[in-house]
Amino acid sequence: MATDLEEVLVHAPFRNDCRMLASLFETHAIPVFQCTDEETLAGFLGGQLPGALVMTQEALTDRAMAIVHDHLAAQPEWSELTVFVLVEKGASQAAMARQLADRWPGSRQVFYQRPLATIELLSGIQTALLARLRQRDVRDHMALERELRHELNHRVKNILASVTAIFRMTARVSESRDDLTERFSGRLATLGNVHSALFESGGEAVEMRQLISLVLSPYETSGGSQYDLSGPPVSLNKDAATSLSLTVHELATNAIKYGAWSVPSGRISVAWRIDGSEFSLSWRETGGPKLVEPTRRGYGTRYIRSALQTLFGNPPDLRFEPGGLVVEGHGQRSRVEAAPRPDRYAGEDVG
Amino acid sequence: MRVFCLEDNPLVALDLEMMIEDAGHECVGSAGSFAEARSMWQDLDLDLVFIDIDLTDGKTGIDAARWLRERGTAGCFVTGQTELAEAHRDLVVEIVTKPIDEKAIERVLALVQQSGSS
Repeated sequence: MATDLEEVLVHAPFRNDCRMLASLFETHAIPVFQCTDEETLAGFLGGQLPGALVMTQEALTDRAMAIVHDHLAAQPEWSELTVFVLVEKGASQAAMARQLADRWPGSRQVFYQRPLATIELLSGIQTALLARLRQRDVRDHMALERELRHELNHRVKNILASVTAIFRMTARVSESRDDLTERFSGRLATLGNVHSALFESGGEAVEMRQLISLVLSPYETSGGSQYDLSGPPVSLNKDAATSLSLTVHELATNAIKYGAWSVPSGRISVAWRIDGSEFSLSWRETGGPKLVEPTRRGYGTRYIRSALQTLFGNPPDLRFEPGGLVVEGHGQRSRVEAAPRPDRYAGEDVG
Repeated sequence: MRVFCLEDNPLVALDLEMMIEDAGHECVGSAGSFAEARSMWQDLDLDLVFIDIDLTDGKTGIDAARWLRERGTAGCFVTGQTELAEAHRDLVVEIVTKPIDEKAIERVLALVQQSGSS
């Protein structure tokens, strides 16, 4: 703890006050910066924040008062400096307190009468230094909050851009208002489900199997819409999770309308694997009706091609085989996998 | 015209692609990072590139715009990063903010075509 403490700035120009105070603090492991003239005081306060400031009464010249005033005016908003004034016996503390409170906003003043009770002074300094540490915590929280708000703003904008794009593309190919409503709701619900899955897992990663099940399971009915999943555990990053879930959603709705899931006997197999640094994925429909490659410019297949191209860095393979649609894609696993999460709390429980 | 989309959100990329085609032009490709796009641009003869600023390899849309500018290819920022885009306005022919207004994309396409044929 002592290593986190900041230096106590001591400004005491006369006699050997400064050295005596410094050695008192040092024997109690409190770091000190000694200062016996105003140049040094201005130099220190012009460039850094002390943990606390200790001044003797005779050090309170107009110039020194102005230096401290300027420092306080320039200090960051989270900062409040504690200033200890060591007053001579018999001095009028009340008048001095009023004057300093006026001159030094942004500080807290504490008066100790000489001769000093060292225990009292030391405990006052310790309290001030701990308050300083708490001020720094507040500063860190403020910075973190700013960063989070910035990130949130960015994500909301991105989601709105996605929703706008989905809406416009859906509207382009819809035949009626009911058609548009149904397709758009389905796509939006998928986007919502991925968001929930990411949020529940801490925001940055989701398991491949969990994600695919999330999209396909609503279609599973007794005796129909059968599917199987096979592949190793893969923790997907949020972009991969979004692209893959929307891709699987398009494939599933397509299968219901024209493919394997349009007949009771049809099945869908989703398989993925990792070979060294490569991730590959396949969607295979079997037992469905004979397919003809769609001629109309559809949103679904275009989205699948575009999303997998962006995700993997190379185009996927879409084949309309006699048994049903087959889609295969592959790319560097680093493009789909979430970065390992740093264990922020590791080691904190020790001791 | 031959148009390219530098955009890391595949939904937005596809939306742009469709707008380009609806306006009678050809979308010859898209990429989600500047690094990837640059390797594709060597072989493409492009008339216009729509550029998002925040990509999978960072805020590299600015570098991409500069790269294109140096080679005489027209770029247009399509981004939510309005301040950054404005600060680099000299690198592009126009800035379109997100969410995208289709009319704005049509205007940019017409503008670039006009300046190319004149």
